[in-house]
Amino acid sequence: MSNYQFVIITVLAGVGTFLIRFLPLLLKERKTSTPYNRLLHQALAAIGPAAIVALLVVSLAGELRPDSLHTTLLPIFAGLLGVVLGRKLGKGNIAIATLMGIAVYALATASLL
Amino acid sequence: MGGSAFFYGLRDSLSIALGYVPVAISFGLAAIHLDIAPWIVVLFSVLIYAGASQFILIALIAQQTDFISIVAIIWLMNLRHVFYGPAVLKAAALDKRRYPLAFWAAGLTDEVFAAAIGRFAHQPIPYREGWYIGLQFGAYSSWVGGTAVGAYFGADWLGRSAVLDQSLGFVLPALFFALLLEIAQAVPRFILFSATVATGLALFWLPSYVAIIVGMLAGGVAAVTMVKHE
Repeated sequence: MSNYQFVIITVLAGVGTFLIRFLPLLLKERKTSTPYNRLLHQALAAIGPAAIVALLVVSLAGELRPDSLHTTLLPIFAGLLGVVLGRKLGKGNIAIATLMGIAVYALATASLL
Repeated sequence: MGGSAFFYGLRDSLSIALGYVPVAISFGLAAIHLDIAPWIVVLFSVLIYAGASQFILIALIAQQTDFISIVAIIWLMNLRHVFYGPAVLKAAALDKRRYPLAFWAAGLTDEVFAAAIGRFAHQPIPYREGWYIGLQFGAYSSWVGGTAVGAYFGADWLGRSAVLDQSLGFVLPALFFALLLEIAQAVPRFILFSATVATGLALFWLPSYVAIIVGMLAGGVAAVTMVKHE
């Protein structure tokens, strides 16, 4: 992909994201709560969490190497445990959890190299 | 009054910045790992400014996803923000706005939304707008600045360490797992389970970027099904 294509994608994604945040402000709050609005709200609210799960599954699948499962699985499990540990040590801080997971993954990878 | 309120907002954005900076640096590092030019990586953060969907963006680029699908997935990912604006305006309870609505929308991320909803009540009404603008500005600056550090200085770090180079592949799974742990208590298990199964099954037959969409839609359908059965 060229830099030109990256810029176009960035502009489109950025403008779209801004409009998603901006247009509801323009339309202001609607007090009416129809069954249709409720369904739409629930579906939209679920898309974020579902996306996180889907991304986790896809990104983990991308890390697996079928030809060397044990050398890829062990660091992955260690890294996920590191995230859990980091979350506890960081009292729920996502950044600390992520960094701890990466650090443990790196240690496990280094020990297998 | 407006100026001091802005600086109070800037001060209160420090807690958000503490979370943003390391993740933004990781984002910059992960992006240049894919051989994307540093200035393009910074442009992602300047114009899109939506952490999770920026990580998705580079994941989709790595999967060589087509142009239209990348943009559509990012929009779909950020659709949850539709409900943030009206909720923030309502919580602010202002008599009169001083700044255009565009200023209210530009930095409305998940974390800014949560912080604003939680802390508006502690600000006197005349200070709220300036405070909110300061909060947004601080969070935005930390995200863009962190990205620039990762993008411009990351190449040196990567060149020095093969383990770091390999470990960057785990940045995305670690972040998504941390986010999952964060939301797991508040989201019905049925939604998470539906998304997991749908994505896993879709991966057997479909490209990964389509599997992501399948998982997201499965979560949405699961939520609607739950509402209909209530």
